[in-house]
Amino acid sequence: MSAFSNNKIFSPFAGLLLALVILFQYLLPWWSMALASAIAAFLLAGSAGGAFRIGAFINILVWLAIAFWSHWRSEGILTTKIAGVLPLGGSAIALFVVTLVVGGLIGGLGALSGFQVRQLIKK
Amino acid sequence: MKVVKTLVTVGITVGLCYALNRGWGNIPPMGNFLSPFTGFWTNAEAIAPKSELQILNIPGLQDEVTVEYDETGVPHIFAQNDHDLYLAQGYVTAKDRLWQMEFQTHFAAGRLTEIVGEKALEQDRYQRRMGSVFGAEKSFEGMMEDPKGKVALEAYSDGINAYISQLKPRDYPVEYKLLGYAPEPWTPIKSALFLKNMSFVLASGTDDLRMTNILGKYGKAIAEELFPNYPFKESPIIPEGTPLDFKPIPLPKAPVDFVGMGSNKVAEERDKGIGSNNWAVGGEKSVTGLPILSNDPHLTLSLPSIWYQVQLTAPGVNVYGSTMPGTPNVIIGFNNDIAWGVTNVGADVVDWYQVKFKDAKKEEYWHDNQWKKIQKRIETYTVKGGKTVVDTVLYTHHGPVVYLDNEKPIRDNIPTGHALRWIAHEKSQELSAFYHLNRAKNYDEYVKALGYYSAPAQNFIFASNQNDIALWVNGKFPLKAREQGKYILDGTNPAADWQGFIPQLHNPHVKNPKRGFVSSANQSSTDPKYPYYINWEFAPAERGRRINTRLQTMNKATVDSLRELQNDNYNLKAEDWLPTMLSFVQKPSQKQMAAVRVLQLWNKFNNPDEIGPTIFTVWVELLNNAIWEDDFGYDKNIPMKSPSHARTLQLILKQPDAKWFDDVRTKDKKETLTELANVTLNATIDSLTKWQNAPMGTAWAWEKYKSTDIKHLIPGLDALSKMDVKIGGGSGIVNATTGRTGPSWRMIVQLGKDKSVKGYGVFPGGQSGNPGSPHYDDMIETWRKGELNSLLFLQNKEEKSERIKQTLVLKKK
Repeated sequence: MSAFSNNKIFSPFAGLLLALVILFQYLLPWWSMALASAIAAFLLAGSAGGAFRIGAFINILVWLAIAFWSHWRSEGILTTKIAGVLPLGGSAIALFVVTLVVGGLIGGLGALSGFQVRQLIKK
Repeated sequence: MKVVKTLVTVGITVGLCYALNRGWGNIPPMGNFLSPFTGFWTNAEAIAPKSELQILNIPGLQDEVTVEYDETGVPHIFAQNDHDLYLAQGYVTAKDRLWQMEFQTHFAAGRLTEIVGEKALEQDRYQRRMGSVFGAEKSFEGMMEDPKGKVALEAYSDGINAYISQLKPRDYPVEYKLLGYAPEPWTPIKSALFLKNMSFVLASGTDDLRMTNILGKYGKAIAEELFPNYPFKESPIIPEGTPLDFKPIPLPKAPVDFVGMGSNKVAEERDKGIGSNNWAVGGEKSVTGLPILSNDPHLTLSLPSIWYQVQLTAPGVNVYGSTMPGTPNVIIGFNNDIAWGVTNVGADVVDWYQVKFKDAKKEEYWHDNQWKKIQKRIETYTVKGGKTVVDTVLYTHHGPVVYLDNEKPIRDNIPTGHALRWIAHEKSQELSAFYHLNRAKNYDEYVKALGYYSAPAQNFIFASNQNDIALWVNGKFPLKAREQGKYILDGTNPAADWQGFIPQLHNPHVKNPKRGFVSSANQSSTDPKYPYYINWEFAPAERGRRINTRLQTMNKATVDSLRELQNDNYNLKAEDWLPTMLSFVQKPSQKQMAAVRVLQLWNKFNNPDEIGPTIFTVWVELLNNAIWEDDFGYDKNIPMKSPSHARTLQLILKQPDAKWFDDVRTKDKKETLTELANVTLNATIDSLTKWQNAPMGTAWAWEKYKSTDIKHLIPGLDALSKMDVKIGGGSGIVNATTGRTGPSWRMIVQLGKDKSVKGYGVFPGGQSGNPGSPHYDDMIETWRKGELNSLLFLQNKEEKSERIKQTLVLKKK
């Protein structure tokens, strides 16, 4: 396997995934992250495990970066409040965790779906 | 196998997306809500503002508009004509308060079911059956008849829509994301709906049902004796002896006495904290030689704040003040020449008529010796999720039959089977009144502006730099016989109908009284010599009496001395009651000793850390209950009200042996006042000990007992609220901060010649309605400490100020 195997973080798959999830989510509703991940995995994912892991990881990374930027530049003004609105006891960290679990799960499952659909068609 | 696996994965993915894309009960649509691309994360505003200059193209503008934002986020709007001024006001208000504006008008329109579903149906139904939408439609008609009002209303609406139309879902205020819906276009009638809702808040109180039940049980003589038409201690708004400057028209003949059937639903107390203070001292009493004016309307404390500050400048107008999001113009404010403010009148403008239907079909009713046709109005409710509910409301010529006999009212002071006659159903032009007040330069123009105003009736206070001070008890008041509408009226008798209105120029008023000040605090408008009937009972007199006493002795008044009066925590009721109450406890028991000692030493100020106000408040409440519960609260199915505390005190002082002090439920025993006072003092100590699970001490501090919360408009969102604000005051105190209500906008204006007017103000919240903005609640601490911000009043857009932090240029598209 090369260093750019499509099961690695630095791979064409991961790169395409990154580009698509940002583009899709900027233009479309939030659930387009699943579609974007599926398309990237359909085209380039190397294995089921790789699709899920990279799909989850890249989506978590993107969500974390934007969420953290929002949190940081507003000095957490809304994060703690929302962490109190949701039953998270006002913990900003817990809110980040919940957010990233949702992002990771949808991204990973989307990518896995894309990979499995390709396997089905290829046969 | 592969097919199954794939289907399962795809199924889970799609299913999860679906589940997270919709709300479940109280759970928001979590996928959208948590997404950093679209969710609440995008609502968090940067601490450092984006840029100092922003240029936007706005459709509909006729010329360029400049908006300067100061450091508290107040927009100062400079437009070149009225149309653009109000369009810009709509735009900037929506920018800060869109969700609130829409939510409040949905509430007013009885449309909450569209946002929160079936659970709001009864509330919506109540709103519509009271005729709020019916009234708003008529009122809107009136507003559009004034060409200037029409321009303002339509341009304001266009401005809001200009803002809404450029929003992407990610830009929606966070509450939309939380509740899972999207803003709809604004329409001008929503401003009328909002104003009608103020009548709901301020002029829908009704005790007619309770009074009728008392009439039925005890007869007219006792009802009138215990519920007198003028209180025992009073300091009326229009000073006693103010001469009339009009020739009164005769009152209509009183309809024959009528004892209605009443109805049997449970009673609910009216919110005692809603009210307001205002006063103005004339030049001879002020340090500047010109008037100083003060106003603080007491409303429910909420976030986003009910008020929004703005400066509006265009040819012919330069005004600063507070307005309510949803209505153009400034409602309470000042310009270079005048300042004005409002408090609620509390007039008797809600009357109930017992309806006699012909038969069960309810298509005709008896009035003036004939059967008349019932009008029907169909109300349609769209429930979140797609269902619609249709409801038919019956109208007599009086107004809507709010509930039929077989229905259960949501508010229990509403009689069933009765038609409602309410001032809020009248055509009106409130917006024109504010339009002209904003531009008024002197007393005459202020009086002219007031002529447009109907409801909710307000005590309009006024001061000008021509050294005039004045107060008009103003609104549209039905012309009635004395006490007509104290009890439920006979719907078949035409003499019981409203017989026109009091001529507006005959409304109670006073200009430059000898005493050198004018004031109001919701107490009796006038003494009993005033030739018309406005109401038989007003808010308790304590605030008004205290304010008048303080102003009487005040000389060389400054902004600061008036500010201190706004924050006055003196408990006049304690001064009235405590010596008598303590006199009943001559030999305190071991248990009572400490509490009695605290009360004796208490300086009667409701300061946050005092224990005295806590004990006193509970004790006086329990004592009043003990006196009256057996007589007026014995049956939950026959709602009555107890005599006022003022009447009770008068009885205690003047007739300590009155039969009312005996508890009629104890057949073989006659209770005395001394016994009641001692029993209730013990009960006070017990209940407070139980409440805090701690003996008397700091745990009983007034601020803890009162517990002032400034809550978000959506119930239950404590995290977006400001809880347990440490502040003194209370009900009946000049600083009228109770648990849930209080001074919602404090303003003081020092009038000045040659554009030297100075304004000060604060409200318990912030300019922005966004919980993710630093301006969401940044004024609360200033408000809590009783301080005021100096208000930036610019003369023109060229005027520079270091306080300007951001500029928004709106260009025509």
